[in-house]
Amino acid sequence: MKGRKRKGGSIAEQILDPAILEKVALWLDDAGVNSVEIETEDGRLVRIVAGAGVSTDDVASNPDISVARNRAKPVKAPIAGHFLPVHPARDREEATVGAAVVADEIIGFVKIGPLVMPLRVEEAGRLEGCGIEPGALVGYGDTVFLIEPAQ
Amino acid sequence: MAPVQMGKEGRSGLRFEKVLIANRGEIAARVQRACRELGLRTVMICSDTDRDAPYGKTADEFVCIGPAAPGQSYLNQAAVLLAARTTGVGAIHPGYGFLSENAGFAEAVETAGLVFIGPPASAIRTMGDKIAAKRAMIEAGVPCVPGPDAALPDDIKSIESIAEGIGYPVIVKAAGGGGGRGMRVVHDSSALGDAVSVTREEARRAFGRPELYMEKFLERPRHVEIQVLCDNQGNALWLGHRDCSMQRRHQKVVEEAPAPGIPADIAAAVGERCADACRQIGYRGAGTFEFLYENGEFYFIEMNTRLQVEHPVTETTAGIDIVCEQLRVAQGLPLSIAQADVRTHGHSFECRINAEDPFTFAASPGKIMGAEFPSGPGIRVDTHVTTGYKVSPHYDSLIAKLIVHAPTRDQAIRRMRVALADTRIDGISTNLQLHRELFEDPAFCAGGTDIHYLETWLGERKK
Repeated sequence: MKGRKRKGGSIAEQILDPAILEKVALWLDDAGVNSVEIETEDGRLVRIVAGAGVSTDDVASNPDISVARNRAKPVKAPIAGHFLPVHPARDREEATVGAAVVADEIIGFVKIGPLVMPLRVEEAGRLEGCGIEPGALVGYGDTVFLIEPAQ
Repeated sequence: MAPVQMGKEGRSGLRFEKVLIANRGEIAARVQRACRELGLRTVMICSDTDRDAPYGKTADEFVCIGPAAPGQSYLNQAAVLLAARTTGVGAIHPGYGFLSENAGFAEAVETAGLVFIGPPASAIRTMGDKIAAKRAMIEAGVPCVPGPDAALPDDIKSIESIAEGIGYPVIVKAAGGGGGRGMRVVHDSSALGDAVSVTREEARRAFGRPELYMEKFLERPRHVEIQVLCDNQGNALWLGHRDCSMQRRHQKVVEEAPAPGIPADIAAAVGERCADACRQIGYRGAGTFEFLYENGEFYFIEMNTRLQVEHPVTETTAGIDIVCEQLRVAQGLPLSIAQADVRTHGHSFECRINAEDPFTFAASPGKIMGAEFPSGPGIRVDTHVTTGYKVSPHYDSLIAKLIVHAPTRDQAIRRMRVALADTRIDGISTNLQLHRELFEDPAFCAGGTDIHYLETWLGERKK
């Protein structure tokens, strides 16, 4: 079974957001669909196949997006608050995109009033992306980072 | 109703400019609409399962506070207060259900320096204790069901003597109970001892306190309620009455305003006493006095210290936006109307559309594959669902309220029949068919059916 959905805007804007990726994956699961095609306003077609990553028809040979949704592990906010990539008492980020991370490593924070709660990595891997702007409001369970697990 | 006055001098006079709505479903959407109308910014909270709720898109901020289980999200006081702090709101509207009648939460909100959009914690506490509430009502001259305004003693001989004094049948109730739980009807003295001990144990387990009280059991009453509104300036008014007798297992199914066949002078006398009682207990905001009505007499049963599900039937007949008035009062402003200005017009019905089987009443969660609601003069639909919405099994099954208003009760019945015929919800089961049948039932259409009518009617329908 296949679904087809028209959506405007740049592919990167629409698809690279981890929260959107996760949502699309859930829609696929819920609808019993194994792939979805998203046609953008400029006529490009993105195909997301459950468990097989994303591909686009016109950029198949040089894909600009490649996310294996069943490999990348989300790091989710444990509580509602404001996302901080840098601890208020420090001057640099805990982790940068592309860097290797180890299990239980702190890679960011959620601030609630005077409290700062750490965001920890569950298993070692590579920090693949961060979908939240510094200072933005995050809710319980929102995906903040994606971690590509170590082989 | 006049909007909250922003004035040329700006909004500095307001106690709050941003409201957190601590609820979900249709009432979350309803309260949000009132806030936006008054120029107030809104923060909606949700549980994990409500992330796609349509009202999230129209909120200024929408934040998930916990997992689907209500105890970890909508009933989690700490999570709600942390969300309020994080988003910098000045007030919390609790809606109905969840934390709306939790005096401890109301107190915690005020302690956090925020405005609780509801009555003072002390009033919630008094009315949550059925014995204290009855005592307060007797002092204010509100008619109550015959029976002492004190907890039952432990000694069975004394309890028997109280029951003899009231006259059988009597009803034994938990002082901390509500919603139809923790009560037993006793028809003669032989059953009294067992009824008291079982209800006491049930009260201890369910409500954390074993106190019981006893009242005369009315055989065939109607459920009639009076809506009140109060401000901080000592103004209290009543907005007419509603009939909510169409109930199944103590859950209201259809409500109407006004309650048919109640003489205006009797209703006015009780309404005035309700307003007096509010002044005496220092009540603030919206509230509802619930009564049993039998043989031309009102008998107070309890006060709901919050907005009610059925408030729209009063809004449409009185022409007053109750939620906007709640917000005005919470801002410290006086009510926008006086009792002398309250005029009720026409007749209104509300049908609660639930995601449930129309025959077995089993909940029917799932995805709504298509939703069409009626429109036209005198038709209002309060809902949060659209095509594609997933009804969660974690919460109440109410998905929409269909409200009609017309000059007369007969016209309102005809309008509701058409509105129900024009309502379509695909993909899940709903009780729409039940409503369609009810609005063809001669006794219901005649008006004045009692609180047992629907259960009896459903029993006959099965046969």
